Amino acid sequence: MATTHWLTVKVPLASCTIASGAEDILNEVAKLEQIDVKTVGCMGLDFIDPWIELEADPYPPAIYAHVTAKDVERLVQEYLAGNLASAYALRRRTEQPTGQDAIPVLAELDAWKHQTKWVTRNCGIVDPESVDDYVALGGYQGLQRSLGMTPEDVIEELKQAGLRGRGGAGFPTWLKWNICREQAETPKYVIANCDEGDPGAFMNRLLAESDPHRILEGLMISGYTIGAEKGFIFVRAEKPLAAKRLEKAVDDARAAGYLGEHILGSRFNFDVDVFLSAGAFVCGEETAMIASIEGGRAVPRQRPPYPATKGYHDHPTTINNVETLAHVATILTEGRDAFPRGTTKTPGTKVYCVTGSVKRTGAFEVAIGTSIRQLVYEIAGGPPEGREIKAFQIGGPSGGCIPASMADLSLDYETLQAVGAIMGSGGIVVIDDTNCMVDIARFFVSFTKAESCGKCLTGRVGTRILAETLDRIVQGKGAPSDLDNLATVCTSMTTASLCALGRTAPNPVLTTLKYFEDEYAAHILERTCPSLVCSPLITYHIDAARCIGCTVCARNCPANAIMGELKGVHVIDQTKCVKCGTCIAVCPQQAISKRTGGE
Amino acid sequence: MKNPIMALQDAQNAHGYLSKATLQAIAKNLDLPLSKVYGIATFYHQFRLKPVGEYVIYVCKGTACHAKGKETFSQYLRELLGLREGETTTDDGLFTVEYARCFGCCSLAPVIMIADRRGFSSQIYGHLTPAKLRKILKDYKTEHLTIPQRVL
Repeated sequence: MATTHWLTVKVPLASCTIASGAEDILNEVAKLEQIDVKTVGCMGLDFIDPWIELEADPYPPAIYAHVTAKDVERLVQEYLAGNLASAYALRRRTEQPTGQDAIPVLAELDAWKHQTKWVTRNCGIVDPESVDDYVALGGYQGLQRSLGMTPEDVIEELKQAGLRGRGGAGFPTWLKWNICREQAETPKYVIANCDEGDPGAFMNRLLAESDPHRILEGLMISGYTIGAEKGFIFVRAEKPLAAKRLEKAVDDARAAGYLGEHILGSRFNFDVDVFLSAGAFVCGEETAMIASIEGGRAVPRQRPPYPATKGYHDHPTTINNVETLAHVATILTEGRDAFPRGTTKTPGTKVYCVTGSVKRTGAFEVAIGTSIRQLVYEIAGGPPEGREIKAFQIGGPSGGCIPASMADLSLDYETLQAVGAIMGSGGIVVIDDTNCMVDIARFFVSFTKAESCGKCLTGRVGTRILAETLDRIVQGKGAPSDLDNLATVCTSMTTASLCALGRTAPNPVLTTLKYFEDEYAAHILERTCPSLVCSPLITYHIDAARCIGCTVCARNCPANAIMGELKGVHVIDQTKCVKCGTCIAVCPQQAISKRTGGE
Repeated sequence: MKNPIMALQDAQNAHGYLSKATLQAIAKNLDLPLSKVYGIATFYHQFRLKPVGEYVIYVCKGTACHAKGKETFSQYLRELLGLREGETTTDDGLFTVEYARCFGCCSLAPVIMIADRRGFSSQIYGHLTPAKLRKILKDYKTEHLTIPQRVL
């Protein structure tokens, strides 16, 4: 390229962007001359994946959305010629007149302007595999500042900031740390929980893949504060990139002197092991996680004693979610006064993952107390054209389904609990009118049934009864008495289960029974599925008036259940149909539809 | 003493699965009863006690994938591969279908991950449609694609 410009190209390499082709882009970018390539993590705007960012003087840095490898050369040429028209957004407006006023600045976009970037501030900006880059952006200053304070002062700082655990329960972080710090027994341990088990939640993966040193810094501060010299990061083997980035962060931090003995010239010694979790949802329960790190089955035990007094090998242990630890590092770096305002009871921000039926999916960080409406409709853009939101599923399998009419609720621990959901990890799956709420409840219960460790009766048998009852209902074999039975079993589980998994597993059933009873009634009394989801209750039909006999459906049917000749009307053999829905997806005439009841 | 979970992870990475002989060897080396090692191996999702095909297709069972039609999609995949009731590996030993909880790529739902049997490399495929899935399977069948090792 005949140019004197020196170009920086940022390419995001995270699970989500790699799956949408970022590695091909990187290979293409590597062929260019006179450029710096910087690999970064994900900035949470999953709906523009894969994106790249170009920056060369005198133009403002520009972000391009939905890039493919073959676009790269053209986009670079355009950009270096001063034509930014293809850009999705500008990272910031520069003072030079660009003549590109129509291109929005990132901070003006609906998906960005309502966010409060606090723990995710570096995501998509810092190179997650470079400790130097993290330090250049202010990293490890929180650790340095902490080491100059007494542990009591660090705890006071977190108390004044008002930080509560972001893993779900919202327990005050300072209090948890203080209990552990006051234990006389040594050694003590600290654990970072990166065992993200909630389907629909990926904020931990995003932080671990995009800014792993922030997590590590928070873990070091927790070690210093409670008096531990050893930490573990517990991360899912199912999320291999997150695990590799955390391992690299630990190795690099050790090489740079942030781990080891006499850290930053202090008397603090600390080291970290990354422990690959073999995968079990119940590991989210802290006593189960400790059992797993000790090498056994992840079975929770009765609390108290809490891990703060008797944890890893019966020593005092503090476990924090990685998002909490990222908050710790940021608060200690920026100072408690900079901690964003949330609600009176819960200051600060929370990262929510919004997926399902919305225009803009992704991970968005907003102040605690933001309404569901603002998050789902303004930031995530509401439902796609032609769809209507029916419910918000908040907090994973332990959470609940809140009807769309309650969109004005504030997202904070107390409000969500009052309506039967939980903050949980902060996953929000937006459910639209093509989903059946009974089926959704069945989905979660089959999940918790499979994940129950089997130790307590209510967890083991309760989840099984719920699953079998819901299975019957979605097959059209339910009885009116099933609803009362479900409620009774749910109550037993919430009161008598050993751990939070068992106590919260009924939430999806309780909330759908409360807010969507009409759907249960349709399945039980009319043997219909109004949302046309539950396959035993639906049949597929071809509209003879619309069918043009193109044979596409017959050729695509995996069960050979569609008969008909070229240019003749096709018919579905109901005895062979496996109800996979492929014919509806491929029919060019929209001639195939689902029906429920009647037959 | 070595942690049994790590020993099982290493063994599975080496062999692709955990045979009875492997479990016995680990129990002996760690001086643990076989029942305890077996108990751990059957508790966690990561471990499998049966050999698998050359490629393991993990169908995401997460909420977003479910809401976008995972159930019917997984039925379609099984029909395409010609798997009969109760079967998980194809007759030619090329593919095994398993289920995963969530890869955290919910924005790409519905999602599958195809991994080599030892789990050293994997590739996630998102926004799946019947046509896209058929093409992916065809590519793996005809070209015996090597899954790229992650850039790290």
